[in-house]
Amino acid sequence: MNEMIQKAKEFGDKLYYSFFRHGFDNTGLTKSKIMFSNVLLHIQPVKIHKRSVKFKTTMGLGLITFYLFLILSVTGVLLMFHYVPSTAIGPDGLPDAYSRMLNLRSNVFWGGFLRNMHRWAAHGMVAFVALHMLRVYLAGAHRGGREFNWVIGCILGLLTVFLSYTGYLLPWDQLAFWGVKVGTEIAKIAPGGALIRGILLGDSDVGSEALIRFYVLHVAVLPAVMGFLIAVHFFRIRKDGGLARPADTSKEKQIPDEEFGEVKNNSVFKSARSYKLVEIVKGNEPKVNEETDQMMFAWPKLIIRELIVLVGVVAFLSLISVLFDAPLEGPADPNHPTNPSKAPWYFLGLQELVSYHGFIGGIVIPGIMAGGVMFLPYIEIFMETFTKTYRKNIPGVWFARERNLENALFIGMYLFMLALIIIGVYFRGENWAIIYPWEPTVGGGH
Amino acid sequence: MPKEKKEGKSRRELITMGSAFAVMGIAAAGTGGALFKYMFPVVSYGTPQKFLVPVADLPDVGDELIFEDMKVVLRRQSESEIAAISLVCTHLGCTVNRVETGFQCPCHGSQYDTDGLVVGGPAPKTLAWLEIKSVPGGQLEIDTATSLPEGTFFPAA
Amino acid sequence: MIKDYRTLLILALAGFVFFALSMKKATDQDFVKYQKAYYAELGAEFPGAEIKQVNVPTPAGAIIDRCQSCHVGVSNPEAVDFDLPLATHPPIVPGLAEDPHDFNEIGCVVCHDGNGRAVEMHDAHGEFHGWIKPMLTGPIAQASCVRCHAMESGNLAGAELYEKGRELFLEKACWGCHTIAGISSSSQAPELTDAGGKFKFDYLVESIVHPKANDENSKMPEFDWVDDEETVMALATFLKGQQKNRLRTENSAPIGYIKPKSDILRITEPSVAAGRAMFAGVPFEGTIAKGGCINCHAFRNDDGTLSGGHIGPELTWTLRNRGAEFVKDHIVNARVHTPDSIMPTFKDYNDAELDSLVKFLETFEYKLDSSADGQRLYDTYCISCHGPELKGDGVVSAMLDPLPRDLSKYQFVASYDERFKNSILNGVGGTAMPAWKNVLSEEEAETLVEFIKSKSLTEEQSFKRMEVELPMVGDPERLDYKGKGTVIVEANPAHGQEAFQKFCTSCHGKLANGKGPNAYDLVHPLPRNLINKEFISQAAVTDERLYESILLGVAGTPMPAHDHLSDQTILDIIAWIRMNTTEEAK
Repeated sequence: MNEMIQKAKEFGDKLYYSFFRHGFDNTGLTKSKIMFSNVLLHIQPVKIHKRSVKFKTTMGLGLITFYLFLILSVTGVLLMFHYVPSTAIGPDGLPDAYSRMLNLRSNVFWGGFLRNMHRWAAHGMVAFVALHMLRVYLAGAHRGGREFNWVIGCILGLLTVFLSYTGYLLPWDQLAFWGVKVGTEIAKIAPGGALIRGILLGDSDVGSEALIRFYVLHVAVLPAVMGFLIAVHFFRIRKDGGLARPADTSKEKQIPDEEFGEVKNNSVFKSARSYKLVEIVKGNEPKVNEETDQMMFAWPKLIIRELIVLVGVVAFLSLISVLFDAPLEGPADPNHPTNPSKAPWYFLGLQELVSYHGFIGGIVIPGIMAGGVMFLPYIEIFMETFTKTYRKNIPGVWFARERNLENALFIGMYLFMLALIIIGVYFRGENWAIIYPWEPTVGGGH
Repeated sequence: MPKEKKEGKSRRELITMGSAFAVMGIAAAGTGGALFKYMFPVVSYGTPQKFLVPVADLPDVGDELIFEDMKVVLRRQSESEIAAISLVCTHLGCTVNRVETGFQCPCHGSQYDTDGLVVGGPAPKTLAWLEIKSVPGGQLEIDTATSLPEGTFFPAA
Repeated sequence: MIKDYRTLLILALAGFVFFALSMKKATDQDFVKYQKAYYAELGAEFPGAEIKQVNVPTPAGAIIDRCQSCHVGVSNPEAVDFDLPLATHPPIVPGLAEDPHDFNEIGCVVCHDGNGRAVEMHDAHGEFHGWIKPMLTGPIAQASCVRCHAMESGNLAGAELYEKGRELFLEKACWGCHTIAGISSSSQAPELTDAGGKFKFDYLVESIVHPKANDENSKMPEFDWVDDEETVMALATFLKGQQKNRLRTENSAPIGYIKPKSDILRITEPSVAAGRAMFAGVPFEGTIAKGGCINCHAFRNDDGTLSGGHIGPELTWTLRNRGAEFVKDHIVNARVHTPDSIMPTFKDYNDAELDSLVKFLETFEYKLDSSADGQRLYDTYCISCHGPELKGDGVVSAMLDPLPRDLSKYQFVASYDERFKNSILNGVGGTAMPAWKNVLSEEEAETLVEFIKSKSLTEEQSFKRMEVELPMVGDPERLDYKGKGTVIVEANPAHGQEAFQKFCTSCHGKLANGKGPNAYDLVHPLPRNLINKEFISQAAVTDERLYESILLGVAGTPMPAHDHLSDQTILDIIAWIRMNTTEEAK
């Protein structure tokens, strides 16, 4: 009998170690093993700086953005099961794509909820990309060897907007049709914009060809590019030594044991620090027996914190999706524009600018902004190199005094765009006339 | 007694963590179930699975009524007994023809007698007998997705 | 760490609750409740809720119809006393033991519109923003009969409201302006062949009751017979039924209803009775109603009372004033003589029908006796256009173009009173003012002029209009001083056109048709249409009158003086106006 139990235990152990190559004890080795033997966790370092788990360091903005991307991928794939990118008019006078929306809304179990989630997560992602960028800049985390990652981040931001925009057309309702129509009309103003517009739309106007192209871009091309660039983005953060931070000082308090994670020494070496992995990372030598060590194990603190963010995002998103239904108007009708015809909200600042002057508002200002923001770290380097105004950059410090001017300008730009968007969303009524938000209007702006 | 205190703390920690993961697990399981339902067809867009026949339209005793679209033959055995037999061949799904001797499949030559029992050809089993339900309003609902043993008759009202 | 775990637990619980809520929302659908209630009320066992879908086959594919998931008792006669949405559908064809419409075949949206895919009430009834086909409830669902049935024969039982609408459309001469393929052809007003496909029912109702509600520039009159709900509903139902997208072709329409193939019976022998029928828009000896002049035009009965509409001018004296030829031309195409008339063209009338109408008009003999004074003459002959206060705002004035002259303006009357007698007796060409010489005697015309003067020349002030003379070509005594003392030469229309485009178009328009951008801001009178041939070429409109009107303006109107123009330029403009109205320019 005992033998049987013994064998069963042995079998169970073998089974367990075929899945997991580690136990869950409190030794540093195990904590390291957990991190690098799990395909999902090994993206993250075994040890992280204690700042990394502090809320004020990142506010979790980048992580939230990433989670929204994951949620969008999952809900998006689920929605694809019920969607047809076709404008063919059915016998009840509705385009196929649109009747699929009606199906999702009132017939498919949970279909409305998943669509709501996808819709609100998409809007949320655009917003959080912007917030993440603001955080990175204000904390000076775009410098110190991280300039190129900033550029990649900017490309990711543009991709996010473009993904959201291509998805906007797919329901094929009035909102989608006229939102995209207005958006592509803005593209026309740019030099060469007509060419890009033609390639995007596949026709001289928004129609069935445009729907197919937007669909393929939305479900295949852009997510693939996005996934790859996200990998590069994360990889570079690790290779640059984790989150940007100022150098440790001996004055800083050693992290208390419980934060650090209780570690038993099961090493053959007597030194408490000898199990530290020799990481071949530029600039970071193994710090054996250092007086101050602000590094801590990523397991379990970081992982739990990340899980908290994930569960929080999902919970909040599902609350929003239960409370608010994603907008769906009448089917797209190319002959009857909605009045006003508004682009998606993240383009409304642009539309507002265009309403003042086509070329300057539609191309010059946004071009300068997008290009300027993308190459901002290089512009800073250029200025510093050629104007000999040495400025010490402290990466990872919020509102560093040395960078007051830059930060003020950056915040100013955000406020400018925000003001334009708010005007566009709430203060524009029929015929793009200025109205008060409480005046009744129809259509547009979601 | 600092050590004991620590252990107490860690037990509470474990319970909290365990219940958190349990809740997440239940939610994940529920989500899985919901997604199963999300994928499962609610209604058919092609030929509906069920169809209605008004009682007034039933054939006379001993007669049969063939619904070509639905691939069903409705037979009236007696004043009070009716039965519906599927015309889908049990071999590979061709539509069988009603002939003098019973049913015959044009695709691979399966032969059935008048009750749908296999008498020749590759067919593996009897033609499906279908469920007939009475619905309010003097109508009968025939469900083509059912498969009952041969000789299952239903009341004609 | 315990803090983190606690946060995680709380968030996980919250997420769990929200997920559960979402699933409850997805499961908790109205139709489950209704189906339960239905079986409970029937006393039958509840077999479990299910979406009841009808796929209505059409040549283009299937229409998805899930209405009976909630309206579960529509074809069950036992449910007749149940409350909505469980009740039996009322019989569609009255008087039949068994209704031929099987809801398991045709579903509900085919007749009632709405969103057949939905199983949530507001969704299903199309009560969300932007939905193209809100539900048609009650008798207005008759608009949908024509989606399958050919109804032009007008005998479909149960479609009485639609039929009434169709009769109104013919009787009230809607067809005179609006085209519906197969019924009428006219380019006066928007085509209504696909009115039901394009417009929502409420929009149609609104447009009938208040034509300017959706289009400010609509010329459609507000008809006074559109006064009760049933009339409006009937018309709107008829119009809602006009849809290009039909579910059945003419040949596959359900049997029993024959679309008439034969031509509409026509009147072949002119007679007063036929004319009267046409005028009234009622059928005459088997012809279907194809007239309805009375909806717009009034006439005076022998006792002096008026019958008819107030959209076009009164017709009591028209035949005597205008003559038969003019009247016939005017019916066939009103724009031949009066370029800005809104009267529909009735070009498919044959000679017998036109003669019938003329014969009917000949029967009007009402006339005042010779003892009538100015007031009475005015109240009889002039008031319907020129209005009780002489302001040119009589009951029918709104739809006349040009507007009737405002005779209450002191300066106008003082300046031009010597023209009035001629205008009354010989009419004003190209306008709604007819020649009264066959009705009124010269004395009566003079009485009227005196009446107008007595009404309008009340102000104690002296107004003397400057007298000018038309400059003669090559006259050495009459040099063009504003042209720096040059001798007047032959007028050049090309120069005139140039000057016109520079000085006149803001009111008179680029085409000189009196519809310039500023014309819409002017109140009364509106700028003159200068390509109105009958007006410009009548004897009373001399070059001298045009010259004077341009140079000094027209008194009592918004036309200002143009004394900054040289005489030569004015003559050039006159030459251009003359050129436009004499030959077929362009």
